[in-house]
Amino acid sequence: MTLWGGLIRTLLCPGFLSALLVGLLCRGLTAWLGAKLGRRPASPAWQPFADLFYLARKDPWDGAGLAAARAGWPALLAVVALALATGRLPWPEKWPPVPAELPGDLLLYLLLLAAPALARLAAAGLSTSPMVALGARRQAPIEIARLLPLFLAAAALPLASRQLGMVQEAAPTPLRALAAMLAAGVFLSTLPWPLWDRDEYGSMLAGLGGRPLALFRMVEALELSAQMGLVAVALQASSLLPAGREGWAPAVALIGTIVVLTVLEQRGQRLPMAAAVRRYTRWLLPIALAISVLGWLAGR
Amino acid sequence: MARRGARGRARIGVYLVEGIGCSGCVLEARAVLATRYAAAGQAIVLVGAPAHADLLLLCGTFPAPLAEEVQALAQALPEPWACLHLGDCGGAALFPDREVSLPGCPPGPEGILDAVRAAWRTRQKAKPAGPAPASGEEVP
Repeated sequence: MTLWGGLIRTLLCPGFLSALLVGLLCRGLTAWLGAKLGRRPASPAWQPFADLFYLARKDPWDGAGLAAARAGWPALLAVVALALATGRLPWPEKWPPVPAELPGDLLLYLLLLAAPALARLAAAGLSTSPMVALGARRQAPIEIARLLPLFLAAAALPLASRQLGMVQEAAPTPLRALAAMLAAGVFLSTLPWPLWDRDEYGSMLAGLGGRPLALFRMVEALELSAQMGLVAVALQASSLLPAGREGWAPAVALIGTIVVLTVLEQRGQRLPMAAAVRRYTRWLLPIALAISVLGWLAGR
Repeated sequence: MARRGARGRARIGVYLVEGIGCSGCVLEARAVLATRYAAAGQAIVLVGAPAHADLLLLCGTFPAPLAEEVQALAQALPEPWACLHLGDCGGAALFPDREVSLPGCPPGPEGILDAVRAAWRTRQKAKPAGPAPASGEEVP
């Protein structure tokens, strides 16, 4: 298969399309549920779809000239990276064309998960606006701080099972199950949505309007789905799901994600920047380190 | 407040620009739009950057030097966009081809939400190559 053939197949693969749909629906459902629980008027659950389609029809902001057009490229690359990542997920089962598993799938997946943060920072770097530069400078530490515990906790999975594939097939032990469950908890705690609700995030993308912004909205939905996929991988690795029901892992991950994000949405509290970074570095990072040590002990 | 005015439509991003005046309009507009409770249910949200906006909300009066700045700022709004001018002290329209005005000192919150949607509809009607809306058209 040629490179272009592979790319087209990945973009048309149900893994990518379902990731986009699930990501958008998850955002809409969470906002709707949070508003209903808080007894507020709610936007419908399909609001993100309407927003995305509308933004995609709008002209890009031409006031920035070439800078706005260039800023669309990092977003496009992030979409392709996340399409490749979500295409590696072993779900939906028995629905061709599910790609064959490669030995280093999990590593590839984790590397591709960093693409959205890099794309946002690259797009901000291409802008000449001081507002965008300020937003990026303030948002960059939190973007990086979120990825550190995520990667460290993800290391527990291959350390415990001695496998780098997306499907962890090692024989389950209590220690391995515990490490995988705790890793799933860290993945849920580092979901990217709270970052997007910040003023710094809006400021970082302030130079983008219309179609380039629609691409970044698409990246957000895919990023959410990709992290949900990682939660599902950890749940499957924990072997706690009933035998023969491993396919439930993505559904459980989706429910867990909706619950976590609804709680955050309902609380509606935005931590100050320093406190938000501290939450990742001072609390989640040591926990993730402990989980990876636990995974290493489980795999010995 | 809990009306279902914009259900199922795309979100209307509003960028608020404060002119010169008593700031009553600004306070009223912020009170109704800045919370995520009332306006979010009708898919109307305040945005922090003009490039993210679909509607320019002008409050107060804009003398010539300020008007030039606002007109320069409006170039950052991606097409198509609409403009709503709040307050009795608005004066001449800054964007005669797409500006809708809402009188009142200050206009009430329900009126502001209605006017945002009315301005939005005007924008949609003005998009095809038809007759442009009348200059400074007032929302009843």
